[in-house]
Amino acid sequence: MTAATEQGAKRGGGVSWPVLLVGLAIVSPLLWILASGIGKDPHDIASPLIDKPAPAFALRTVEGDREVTLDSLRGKPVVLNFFSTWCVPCEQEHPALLAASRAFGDRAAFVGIVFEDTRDAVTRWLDRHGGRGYPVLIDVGGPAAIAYGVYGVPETFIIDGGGTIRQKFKGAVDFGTIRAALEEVR
Amino acid sequence: MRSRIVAALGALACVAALVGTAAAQRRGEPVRGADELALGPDVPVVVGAPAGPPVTGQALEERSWALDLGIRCPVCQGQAIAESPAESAKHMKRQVRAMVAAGYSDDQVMSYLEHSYGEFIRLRPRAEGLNLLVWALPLTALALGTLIAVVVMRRRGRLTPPAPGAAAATATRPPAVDPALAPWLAQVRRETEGDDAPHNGR
Repeated sequence: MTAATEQGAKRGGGVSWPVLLVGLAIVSPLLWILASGIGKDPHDIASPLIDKPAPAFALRTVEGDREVTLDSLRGKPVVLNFFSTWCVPCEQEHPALLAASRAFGDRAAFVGIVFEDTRDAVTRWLDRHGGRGYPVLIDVGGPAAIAYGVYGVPETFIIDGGGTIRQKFKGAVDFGTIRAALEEVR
Repeated sequence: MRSRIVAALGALACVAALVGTAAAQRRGEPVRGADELALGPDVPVVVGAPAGPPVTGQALEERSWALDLGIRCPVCQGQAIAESPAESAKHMKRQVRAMVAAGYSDDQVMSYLEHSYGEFIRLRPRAEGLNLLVWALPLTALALGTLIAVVVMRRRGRLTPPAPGAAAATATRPPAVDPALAPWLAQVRRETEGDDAPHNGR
């Protein structure tokens, strides 16, 4: 390449700074919005029900022998656990929930609500995993899951004695978490 | 003959996979009879009484479907409950249909679901607050991009064709040279004219 064509190449490769700046002004906020979401679970959203009255429910037990309503549990805190037999974290947290119900059952009500599962499967599962320490209700058609805004199991709600939802835990809970949550609503 | 057998077996395998997938999605107790249109017990508490009369028939199906297309499946990735085979989506479709059948308005149905799940349940965000960016930015970018393209192309003279008289006049004289490029052009002409001359010994 001769010296003249080198000069020409340098002059002809110029950048339009106004266009570049306008483009950056438009793209930068979009990149910031995209970057702020990286690594976040889009389903990990704060529940809009916190500090709101817990939705009412009237569900039958898995055994079918009686109906349990939220109203019947009023007066003491409620640990409401949505779970399924096909959910691995549910299996992991079940011993902790059983232990907590034995430790704190005098001052809090523990209730399990089955999410998208059958009576037979739940009955077999409970028999394999330590039995029933508290009422387990079957949510046929999912009205309770919809009312509580359940995105997936396990999800555990802590309801105070006045019927207000105070906390929601997504994922498996342990004994310490339940104890701390009940201490807060005492 | 062999290819027909293979094709038939392949089709059978596809049907079996579809049926198996559908069966795997049915995880809960089946909902029957009156339960199909049973409202959640907290619906009247959250959104009050139905805004209109009960709806049946084609109107029920059309309104329910239209709502289902705008509600996000809570266990899926960006799918509407209308398109999702998930059990949760089916439960929500049933609840939507029950509310529409009872006479609840579209706003009441969406408000009820938003009360439980938050604004995330809407596939089409409300056009207010920060959500306005979602609606305004694409249109603004398109308008701005079009404007920039028009301005740039006009500067290069491609959008404004020369008048017929001007075309004839410019055809008889050489095109104007950018003064900044004139020295470079002169250098190129000298070098190329020098290249056309025969080289010694070649």
